[in-house]
Order: sequence, then C-alpha cells, then structure tokens
Amino acid sequence: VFLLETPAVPGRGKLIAHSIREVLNILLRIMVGPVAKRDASALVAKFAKKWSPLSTMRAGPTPTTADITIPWGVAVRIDALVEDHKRPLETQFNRITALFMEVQIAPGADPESFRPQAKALKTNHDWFVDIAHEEELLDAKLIDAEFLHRAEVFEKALEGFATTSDFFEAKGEIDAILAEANG
Amino acid sequence: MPSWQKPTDDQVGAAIAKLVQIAHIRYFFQNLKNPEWLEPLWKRGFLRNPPEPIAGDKPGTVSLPVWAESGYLARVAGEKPEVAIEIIKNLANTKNARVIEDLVDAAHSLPPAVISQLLPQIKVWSENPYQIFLAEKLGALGLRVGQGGFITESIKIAAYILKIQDTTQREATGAVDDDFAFRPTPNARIPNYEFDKVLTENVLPLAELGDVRVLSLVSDLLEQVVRLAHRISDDDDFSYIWCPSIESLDPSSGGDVEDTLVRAVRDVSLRLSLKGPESHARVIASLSKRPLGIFKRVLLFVLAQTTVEQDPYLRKFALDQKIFDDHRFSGEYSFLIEKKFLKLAEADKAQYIGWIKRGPDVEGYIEHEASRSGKPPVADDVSKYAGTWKRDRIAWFGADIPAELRDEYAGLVARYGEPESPRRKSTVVSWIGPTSPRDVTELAALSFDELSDYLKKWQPENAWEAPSREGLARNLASIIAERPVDFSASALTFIGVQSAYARALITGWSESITLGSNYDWDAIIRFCEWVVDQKDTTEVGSEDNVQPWSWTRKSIARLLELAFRDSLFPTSITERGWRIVDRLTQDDDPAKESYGSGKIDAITVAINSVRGSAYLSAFQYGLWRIRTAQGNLTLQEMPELRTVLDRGLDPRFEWRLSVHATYGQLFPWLNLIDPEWAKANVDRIFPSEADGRERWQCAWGSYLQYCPPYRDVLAVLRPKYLNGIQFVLSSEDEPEQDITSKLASHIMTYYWRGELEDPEGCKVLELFYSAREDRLAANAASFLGRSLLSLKEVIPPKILARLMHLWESRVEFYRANPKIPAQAELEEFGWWFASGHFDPLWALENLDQIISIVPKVERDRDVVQQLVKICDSAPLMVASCFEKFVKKFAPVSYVSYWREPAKELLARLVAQPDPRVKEIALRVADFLGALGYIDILDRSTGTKR
Repeated sequence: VFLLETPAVPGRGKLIAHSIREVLNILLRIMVGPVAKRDASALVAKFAKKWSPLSTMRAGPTPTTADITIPWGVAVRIDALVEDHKRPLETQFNRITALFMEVQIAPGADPESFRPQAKALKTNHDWFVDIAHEEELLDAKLIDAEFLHRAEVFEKALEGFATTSDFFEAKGEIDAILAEANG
Repeated sequence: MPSWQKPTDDQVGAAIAKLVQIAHIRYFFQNLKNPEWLEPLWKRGFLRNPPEPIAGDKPGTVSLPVWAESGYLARVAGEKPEVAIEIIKNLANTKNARVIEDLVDAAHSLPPAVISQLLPQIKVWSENPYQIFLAEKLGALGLRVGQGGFITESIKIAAYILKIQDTTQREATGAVDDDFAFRPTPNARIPNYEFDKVLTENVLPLAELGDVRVLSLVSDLLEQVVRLAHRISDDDDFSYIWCPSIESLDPSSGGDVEDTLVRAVRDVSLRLSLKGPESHARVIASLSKRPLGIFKRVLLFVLAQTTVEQDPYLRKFALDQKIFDDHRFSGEYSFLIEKKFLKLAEADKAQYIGWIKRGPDVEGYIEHEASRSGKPPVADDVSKYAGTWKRDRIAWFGADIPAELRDEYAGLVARYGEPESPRRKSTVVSWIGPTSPRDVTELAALSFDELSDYLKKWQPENAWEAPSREGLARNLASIIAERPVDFSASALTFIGVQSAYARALITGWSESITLGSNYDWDAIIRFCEWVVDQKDTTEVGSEDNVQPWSWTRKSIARLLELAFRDSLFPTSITERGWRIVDRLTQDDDPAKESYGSGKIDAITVAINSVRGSAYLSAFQYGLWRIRTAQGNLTLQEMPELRTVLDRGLDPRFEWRLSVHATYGQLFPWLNLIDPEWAKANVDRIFPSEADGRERWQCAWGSYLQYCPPYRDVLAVLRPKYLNGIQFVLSSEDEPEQDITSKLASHIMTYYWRGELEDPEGCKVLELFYSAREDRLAANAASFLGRSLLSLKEVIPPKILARLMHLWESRVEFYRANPKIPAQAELEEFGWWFASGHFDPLWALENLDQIISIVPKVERDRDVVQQLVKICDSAPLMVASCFEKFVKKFAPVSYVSYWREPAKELLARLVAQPDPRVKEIALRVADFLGALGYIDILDRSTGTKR
C-alpha cells in the first residue's frame, strides 16, 4: 500500500509485482509445505554405482538380445524411479487448492469445491509474475487501472484467508454480498 | 418478478474471495437468488465439479452429499434456460442422485423442446441405483415434455423410469434343475409405491393427449410382468385367479406391480376410449392384438363403459359364444351384458337369449363328472347343473331381464336360491382363529350340569374354519374368568370332559388366583387328580381338535405353584397337592429336548413342559413350608422335597437339562430353604466344565438371567463366579450378550456394595478385568454408568470414592497397556459424566482424557447438558473440554441431537468474564458453523472477539 501510494519510489511497480509473487509463494510454502521436487539424478547415480555391467555393455562389440541379470538393489531403485515418475506433478494450481484445504476450520471439504477460487487466485498471481519479469516497463506505464485493480483483488483474496477462521465474521460479509446480489 | 441486476466482475470477484470455507460456499449458494449470477459463476468455474457418492462404512451403503451449487441452478434455471441447459449437459455424468434431482428440477423449468434434448441424460439418470425422489421427479419431467407436444420423448422417459426387471431369488433349494424351485418375482426397478405414483400421476394424464402409444407402453409392461411372474408360454394367464376383478381394482387396494399395471391398462384404455370413436377403435385394436386373457378382460370392461354410440365392437364381442361360454371372462362379460345388452340389435338380442334358452352342454357335464368321480352324476345333479347355469346367465342382465326370461328366472331362484355375482371382488381371505359353536352368552346361560353335558357331547366337524374344541375352550375360559369360585365348587361336574376344556378350567383358576382364597380347593384337587390319571387315547396330531393331556398337566403344575406361592391351600389339602406335584416331577413331558448352541433355552423348555413346571411348583412348596413352619425348617424336616430335589440332580434319574435349569433359576431360594443342602450341592448344580459343560451352562445361564445378585448367595457362589468369568473369557464362541452383561452387572453390583474388597473378592475382580478384550469390562462400565444416571438420590461418598478408584484404575490400565483396545469401555464414561454424581473437576478431567482416546462417547446429549450445568463452576475447563469434544465428535456424529444444549452452553461460555473462555467458545462456534450449523451461535450473543 505504501509503494502504491508513494510515486517517488523508483521501480515500485516491479517491486509490488515481485512482492505479490513472493507473498503467495511463501504463503504456500508455510501452509502447504515446500515443493517436492522430482530429482532423478541422485537415484540414477546410486544405481549406476551398483551396476558395473553398464560400462561393459556399452563397450561390447555387438548388441545382444539375451536377458541380463539386474542386481536386487538396482531393481529396487529402478522401481522407485518409475514410481516417482508416476507421481502427479505438484503444480502451483494444486498447491493453491491445497492451501484452501489447509485453512478449512472443519473437516469434510472436497478440494474440487475450491477449483474456481484457486483458479482466480492463480490467474491473478500469474499476471504479476509476468510483470515482475518484464524488463522494459516503467512505473508510469506499469501502474495503470488494471494493475491497481488486480492488486486490490489479490489483497482481498489474502484478506479472505486471513479472516476465514472467524466463521461468523466472514458470514456477515457474505450476507452483505448476498443482500446486494438479491436486490 | 424482481428485476435482477447483472453482477459486475468486481462483485463476483469479491464474493469468490470470501468463499474460503466450504460452509461459506454452501451458505452462499443456498441463499443466492439472482439468476444473473449463474453465467458469471459458471464461467469462473463453479457448477462444474459436483461431489460424488461416498462409500459408507458398511458394504453397499453410500452417502450422497448435498450440493448447494446445483440447488441454486434448480432455482434459477427457468430464467436462464440457454445457460442452464449447457450446465446440465456438462454435469450429467454425475452419479450423485441428489445432484441429479437438482438437475431434473432445473430441467423441469426449461421449455419442453429444450428438455427433449436431454433424453440420453435422462436414460442414464433413470438407471441410477441411489434414487430418493428421482423417479417421481423424472415422471413429472416426462409429463411436462408430453404436454409440451413431445409425446414420443415423453413415452420414452416413462419407459426408462418404469423398466421391469426379473428379481427372482435363485436360492439353493436342493433342486438345482427344478425351475419351479424359484419364485418368480418380476419387479419394477423402482419401489412399488413410486411405480404406482408415476403411473397414476404422470402416465395416466398422458392418455388425455389421445395417443394410443401410451396404452402400448403400459400393455407392454403388463405383458412382460405377467409372462415373467406366471411363467406363461401360451396365452392362458390365469388372471381370473390372480386378478379376480378388474372393476374393483383401485389404488387403495394396494397390490403389487402386476395389480398396478392392470389398473393402469384399464384406466389408460378407458381414458383413451372416452376421447371419441376413433380413439376407442384404436384402443380396441390395441387390446385385441394382445393374446393374454387379461387384455381381453380389459377390453370387455372398456366396451361396457364406453360412451361411443352404436359401438361397432359391441356385437362382435357380446355375441362371441366362446367368450359367453368361458368362465375366465364371466366377470367382465356379465358386466358388458348388464350395461350394453339393450344396445344390441333385436336380432342379436334374440340370438343371445336363444343361447340361454338352449341351456348348457349337459352331455359334456356328465362326461366330465364321470371322469372326475368315476361315476356319472345322478339326475338331480344334472338338473341342478342345468338350472343354476341358466339362472346365473339370466342374472347377468341385472335389473333388465328380458320379459321372456323373467318367469323362468324367478322359478330357478325359488328352486336353487339367489345366484352369486359373477363380478368377483378382489378380496383377501383371512381366518381369525378358532371359532366356537356357541358364543360366551349362550354358554354362560347354561347351568354347570348343562354345560358339562354340552362339553362332553358336542363333536366338532373337523372342517377348516368350522367351530372347534379349541374355540369352545376359549369361550369356556372367558366364562370361568367371570365366576372362578363358582366353577371351583362345581369342579367335579366337569370330570370326564376333553383335555382342552379341562385345561380351560385350570387356566381359568390360575388366571383369577387373586380370588384363590375362596376356591373350593378340595374339589379342584380332586379334579386335578382325575386329570393326572388321564392318558392320551390318540397319537398327538393324528386327530384334529384333540389336545394332549400333557398341556393340561402343565396347567396344573402352574396352578399348584401359584397356590403354594400365595399360601392358598388349607392344611388338609396340602399333602394331596404335594402328591400331584411329586407325580408331575416324574412326568414324561418333555420326552425329548433339543437345543441350539446355547443352553439358555433350557429354562424356556422348563416353563413350557410338565416336569420343569412341576419343579418350579416343588420349590414353591418348600418356601411355603418354611413360611408356615413353627421355627427353623430345613430339608431334614421335608424329606419328601429333599427326595425330589436329590432325584432331579441325579443324572441316573434325570437327563433333562430343562429340569436342571430350574435349579439355577431358583438357587437363591434353595439357599434360603436349606443353606447346608445348597452348599453341599452347589457343585452338582453348577458343575465344573469337566463334569458337565451343558449342565453348567443351563443352570448358570438361568441363574444370571433370573436372579439378582443377593448378598447371601455370594458366599456360596463366589467360586462359581470365578468359573463364570473364566467361561466367558475362554469361550471360543461368543457367549450371548445377555449372559455377558448379566455377569458384569452381578460383579459390579457386588463391587458397588463393597462386597469384593476381601482377598477372595479381589480375586473375582482381578479375573474379571483380566480379559484381553473389552467385552466384559465394557458391560461393567455400561452397567455402572446406567445405574449412576438412573439414580436421582445422593450416593454416599464412600461408594463414589470406590467407583472413582475403579475408573482411574481402568484408565491407568489402558495407559500401561496401549495395545489393548480401550474404546468400548472408556466410551461408557459418558453415562458416568452425565450422571452428575461426581466432583465436577474429577469428571471433567476424566472426560477430557477419554475424548482423545474414544471415537464416540455414550449419551453425548446428556454429556453436553451436564457441561451446561457445571459451566459456571469451572468455565475454562468446561470450555476447553467442550472444544475437544466438538472437534473430535462433531464431524462424525449426529450433532443435531446435542445442538440445543450446545447452543445454550456456547451462549453461557461467551458471556463468561474470562476472555480466554470467550475466545474458546467463539472458536468452537466457528468450527460448528463451518460444519454447517449456522444457527449454533445466537447473533445477539455477538461474534466479535
């Protein structure tokens, strides 16, 4: 808010975009946990060490179709590698959905119920990520009406998370939205 | 209709940002009315991911989550049909019947042309196995489509809903190849009630549209059911048996799918027929082409009811002599003649009357009878056959009998009586029990001599539903109950009556035993002495209406038991009464005994047999002797009783477990009659497993079942309690729950009274709690809890301390042995807590502990109510404990059951001065609110922290 309202700070548009990107990333890291990376190299290195015939095979004069024996330890690691590959990629969208599940006061929610909200949050967040990596844009061009609007939407989403534990407080605000919608 | 505002992107975005809790999403969609929000919300990803059915804990069960988003769609679809149809098609693959119902409701508000685009989806929905109101809703949808001009689609929808399936239970009967070993049971896929409702409310109104395809639909269904249900390969459907009357079928008569469909075919046919001559012709053509008899009967019924003038089909069917002669059609055919005979041309009337005048095929009748009975009928029978045949057919004219037949009809009625109506009614034949040749008033008017004489002379016919001895005996019992004393004085008059009447007399005296001091016991005993001398002259069951004498002897044993119990015998009679008892303890009944796995049934056999009942009388005799004796009396002074008791325990003389069970049932009283004898024989009555497992089981079972835990008995039975516990612990089969809980209640009662505090008692308790499973311990905790909750008076501190000590030791035990399942016992603490007898801090501490261990707590509503009662004395502890309680149990239990006391408790906690208490209470309220219990916190209480 300070940056938005203080034009004298140079590069503030990028600063804000970077901040928004990091706020969500850090929120996800705290609430959902660090991203589980898929790193095959360590596994491959381990079973390469255990399996000496690999080099002989490569160096052999002619290819063969005969079966070869794999040591037990190598087989276990290949299996782990395959299983790891089958694991669904932990996309940011899934992590945002998980964030909604994390903040539920009571159990019994279905992650599918939060797809629209997660999509809205991610779309907005992606917009700021793009801005953050845009090289040429100056603040004068960057901070337009859309920028301000999106920043406000992001802030509301954060507020939604922040106040969610007070169920009846949030219900009061939903009542106000409903009253307006229902005329 | 309000003019709805289209929301801005900002408004929708702001709403979405607030929908973070699942309960908020539900709340928002339940309360949103504006249809203009439908499209923006859908575009943002709502209304796309319905919850699917969730498999229940028990196999084959599912829960169908409610989806507020589809509820909103159903409410607003009519105002946004183009968007709604797209959303519906998009969601159509869900298996959640609740969501489908919303989709059907939404579809119902769309134009029929749009609905008809949904046929593939409707077909899939109609096959959903988890229907609630789906069939009715789909039926209404089909009708709307039809009434909108899309009759083909409408009929298709009805056919989907009303699909018939063969639900024959092909159970193994031993006759694998016997097709008739299975009862064919064609059924609708939906329950009969809904099937009937859809036919009546949705299909029948379609007939008003005049399309005969509606008749084809219901006729196809009926034909399918009839052929399946009756295994019909040809056209004789025997409908005159399973549907005696088409006319009298109505919704109130209930019936199965078959009846419902006959009614539907009838009503659809009639409605279509009434639409005019062309429609009538199509109905007759449609019904005529169906070969099954039921359709011809409906056709005749429709012809009788149609309003078409000069009906071209009337002559064809009224003058079809095959129908005239066929008894299977006589109900509806006679109805047609009664209603439409006068509409026939004169020549046709003459032809019909000529058939009647000609009379039946007498030759055929004679031949048939000769072949049936082996000899030709006599002339009178032939004449009667011809006369009644003619009488019955003339009766078909109803009030308008042609003049030329009237005199003949009058003569036939005078000779053979009035005819039965051929228009049979659908009736259920019921039988209300044995009947008496004379009613109670008639019997009561007879003198005792006349009554006795009548009883001795009257002979039953032995025909079904005819008056029987049992019926007469019942009426006799009624009049004995009115005058038992008078009957006792005249008992000897009835010597010589049948066993059923003798039993009625004796039972009558037993049932009025409160007047027993006025009975003429001398006469009664003499009557009983005569009864016990009687022998069955026929084998039981070989002759109807003859009851075995053993039933009467059993009644005597019961009467004598009551007489001893109530000290009714004059001293002069006692010895004769005892002699009868003694004799009955050696009766042949029961001649054999067979039991299932549990011998507990032995006492039931005892009560229902002569010998067992006689032992119960013998015990009462002993008690009576003690009551009336001057000074102490033991079996030493009652050798006659001692002989009987010793004999009953001697396997050489008594093999019947039923008799043995009576010793268990009355052990405390045997101990009262002669403690020394009881002590000396306790091992024979309750033998060790090696000495007789069956005897142990039946005596111990009947002891636990019938006897309270008397203080005096414990001293004698303490080793037996150890055996009893051991038996439960070592039993491979699970002992009956009743026995386990009774044993637990005995042990706990002794514990409550402080009778297990000596070293021997401690052994009992130690063994009791040594089980590696929680069956006994759970029963014990439950018994104590229930006793605590039911006790309104103050419990002495010493007892409370004892119970608290027990509970703490149990919790400690489970803490030290975490692998032993604790839940069954510890969840019983709900009773203890709810009783309110304990110090609140102790109770709260223990409740707090067990909440984290058990998946549920007994008496949850009472527990919350008790929290309300003590919340002012320990608000922080109560709040903390309640928070644990709610977070553990609310997501998995039926909160509505304890919602009211929870509301009260939260209101009280929020009002507490301690801010920590208020903070917890609001947190609990938020949790319950998030679970959907929006009303848990009164707004006036304030929600701000």
